[in-house]
Amino acid sequence: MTTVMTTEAIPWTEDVEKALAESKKTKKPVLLDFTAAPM
Amino acid sequence: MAAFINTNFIPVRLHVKNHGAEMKRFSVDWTPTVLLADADGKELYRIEGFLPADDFLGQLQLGFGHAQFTRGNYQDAERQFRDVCEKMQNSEAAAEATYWAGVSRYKATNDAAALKATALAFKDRYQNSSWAKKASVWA
Repeated sequence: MTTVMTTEAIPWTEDVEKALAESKKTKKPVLLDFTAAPM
Repeated sequence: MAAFINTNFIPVRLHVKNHGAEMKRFSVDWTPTVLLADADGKELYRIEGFLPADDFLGQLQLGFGHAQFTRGNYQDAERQFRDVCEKMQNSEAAAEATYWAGVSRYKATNDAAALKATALAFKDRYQNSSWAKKASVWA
């Protein structure tokens, strides 16, 4: 479902640049979840 | 769901009230929206609107296949798309995955038989989907 809802832990960040840098290192795509739901 | 996300993606969550600049940067005008992007911020796949969990996971798995496809990893992309076909047979994602699995095999082998086989596969299932119509030209 979007927004992504799960009871398991996902290490979300709000830092896009950090995530892109991590993506460069790990070759994993970045998943950006834009939401209006309470965080 | 979480395991799939944690294994395959770098997860970022941005609230509409606090991240207007990022919404503009990624051309997001509505929520919920989930984007998959490469390390340069280039969009690879977009999911807009609410979906129940199983359908969302199917879309996410499709997106991961597209990410592999965009990188030219056609064998990995096909494997991912076939996995969606097998595990999510009753989801909307399965029809799209069938189409892209065939395209991935074609891109990997340059053998047009892969496209014809895909068109034939649509004769048995998902006949009314837009993906079957798109593949019909290969029959």
